[in-house]
Amino acid sequence: MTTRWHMSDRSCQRKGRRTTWLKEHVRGVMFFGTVLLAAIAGEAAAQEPFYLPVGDLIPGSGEGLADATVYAPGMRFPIEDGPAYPNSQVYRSGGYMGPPGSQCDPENYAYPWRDNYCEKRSWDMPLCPAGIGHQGQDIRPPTCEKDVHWVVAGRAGDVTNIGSYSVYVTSVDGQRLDYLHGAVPTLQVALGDAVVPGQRLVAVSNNMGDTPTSIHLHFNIRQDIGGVGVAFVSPYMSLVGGYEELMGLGNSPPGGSLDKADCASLVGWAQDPDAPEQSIAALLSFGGPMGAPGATLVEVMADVPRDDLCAQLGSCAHGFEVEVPLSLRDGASHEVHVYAKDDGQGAPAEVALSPGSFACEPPPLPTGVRRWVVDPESLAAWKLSPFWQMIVAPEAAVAALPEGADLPPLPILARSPAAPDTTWLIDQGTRRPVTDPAIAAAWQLDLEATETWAPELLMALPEGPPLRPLPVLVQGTGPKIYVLDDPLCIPGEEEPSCATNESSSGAEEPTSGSATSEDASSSSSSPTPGPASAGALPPGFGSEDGCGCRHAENPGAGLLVIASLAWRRRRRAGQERVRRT
Amino acid sequence: MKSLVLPLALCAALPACDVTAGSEPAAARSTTVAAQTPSRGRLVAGERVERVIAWPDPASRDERTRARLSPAALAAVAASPVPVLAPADPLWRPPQISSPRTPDGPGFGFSLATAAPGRTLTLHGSRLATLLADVGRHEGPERLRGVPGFVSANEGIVTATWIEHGAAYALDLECASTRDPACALPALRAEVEALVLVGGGER
Repeated sequence: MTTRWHMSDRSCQRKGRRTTWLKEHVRGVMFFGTVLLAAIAGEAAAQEPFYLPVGDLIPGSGEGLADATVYAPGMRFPIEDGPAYPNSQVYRSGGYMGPPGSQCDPENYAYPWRDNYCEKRSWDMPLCPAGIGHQGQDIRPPTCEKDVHWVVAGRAGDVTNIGSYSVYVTSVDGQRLDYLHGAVPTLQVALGDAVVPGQRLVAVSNNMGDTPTSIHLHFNIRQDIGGVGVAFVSPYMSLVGGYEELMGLGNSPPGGSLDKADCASLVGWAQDPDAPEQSIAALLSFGGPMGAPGATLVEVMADVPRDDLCAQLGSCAHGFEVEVPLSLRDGASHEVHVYAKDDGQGAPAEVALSPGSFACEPPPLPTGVRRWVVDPESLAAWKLSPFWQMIVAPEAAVAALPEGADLPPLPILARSPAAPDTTWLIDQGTRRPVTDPAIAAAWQLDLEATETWAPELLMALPEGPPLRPLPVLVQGTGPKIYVLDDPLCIPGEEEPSCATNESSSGAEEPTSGSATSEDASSSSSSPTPGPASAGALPPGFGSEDGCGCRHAENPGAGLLVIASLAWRRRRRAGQERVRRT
Repeated sequence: MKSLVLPLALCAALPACDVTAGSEPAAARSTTVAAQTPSRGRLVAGERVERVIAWPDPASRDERTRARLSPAALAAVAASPVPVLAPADPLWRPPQISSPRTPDGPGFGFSLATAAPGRTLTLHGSRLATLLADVGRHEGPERLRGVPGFVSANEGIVTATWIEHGAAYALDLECASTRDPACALPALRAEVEALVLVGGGER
């Protein structure tokens, strides 16, 4: 507890708000005692974070979600002035499940913060471990006074709702920030207004219609999540980032450099002078500065030893090298901003020579059929990453690839007791061997989830081609995303690409509707990707044995029907299983 | 392993993948890099992917509800990149609708807000999803508009979410009195089922 008070004091000193804060919060005796104890605690205490880990809920208040995702990078902290105290309104003093006391008890207005996203509630919250829970984070303002402290916009956007006690602001990318329990008479905005970060919205209060609540801001982040749909996500680490920026927390800012940005890789280093021997993380923001709409943020440990850094920094293991994302190898120029992440508290700092830029030609398209991944839910179920795994190609080149069956909505793995070492992927009524654990790993298939099927059912399915060693996605100018694959060639179903492949000598022959071999060859030297010749392809990027299908030995039609039914049943069971997760 | 093999395999095997062509290295940024293959790291806030919208037949638009929309709302509907649904019940005031676009041009959804005595309704449609590395497929346990969905309630506000026409939708109901049956779950379900198509995707 003493450390918590110490942290409060320290934060306020940094912003010159100590006097105000003391007037509003701290009884004199407690303060002097705290300062004394804090001084004794020394530097170690000073390094203690102002927040408890994400997902660490009050014991007995539910199961938290340890989700370190910063869903709103660069977000402005949503209360105008600090300090602020995110913690539970229900399980602390003044709450109906909390210890005796008042909502204004000093321990409610003290560090460390505590997550209460996913705290026990009754209704659906698909991202919470229990599937139900609290949708956001409760935040107490600097003092236990209502209608005094301002709620401000965390991100730019339009005011899309003003309810009896709620204000919603939706950004152009569809992310919505919800601000609840403000005092209606203090509203500073109207429905439809465009707001900027830091703009006043309403005063923090205890308004919940005709049922007052405690004085706090209930803050939600809601956005469209692949695999789920619109969902409330954990706001905790976004709040931490915004608060560090607001309060100027941290010590010396970290530093670093972007040394090289080209098609081989993105190279640089990062170091925190407060912990010079320790490796820290670097943040790379593609498509704009950190927090810009549409920017994609990658975190990588800067821990690669570099000889040149040893003398320069007095410590060697601070380098990083990041591959250029496949989806950005599209011939266009792309900018990358690089930041060093503070070892402890503190906002990330952009490094020297950032931003950099690169322009890389796309690789030729591998041969195969294109199979539509019909929605983000399927991408999520298959754990596919368009950012890292997708080739962006001209629409004509994509259209030239023969189209195969849609990718199933989720991967289903099966094995039979008769051959427990062989794992099969059940794919559109075929069984496809997963020949190597490395391939399963490359596709992020969960072998632990493999189902056991009766041998007669499993082996009655026609055998499809083995899974390719790596997933490769492709997208033209439209939004459709395809996975490149070998044709499945389901018996009894017309599949033009199967006929083409079976009649050809293999993937060396261009697939039907695609460019000729000569075209492919010439396209490889142009910026326009086209089908690559199989000879130039690494293993797994094209079928070497035509269709690649090996049919079961003339399974009877009845057996096929049974197996197909079993597959469908398993598929439904798989979906049920996913629902339960 | 996955992170290393793909680019290396592609670039090593494909003549067209000239890793230096078109590059724009920063001048005088030479450095001594320890032998190390590039890594990927972690996507901090996920990655964005667009949903593919299955546009409903324009003939299925509810013209009576459209007739209640203001010119500004109709313009927002026309510009919406996802099908716009709206409450048909005239008890609700004519809604305010927005479908903002980015400076580069594309838009990713619409928002609708309306009110009736003692309560407000908001509806949001999205075609821009965020993929998160550790979130798989979750189908809602409820049945809303014939598809799986989720129903939630917190702070007295009830919420329903579902995926329809390829877009992700969310509807919120908020009452001035948290005990108002107009914001109970049956009322929420009824509002969701009563939504009608008013248009979208016209420019």
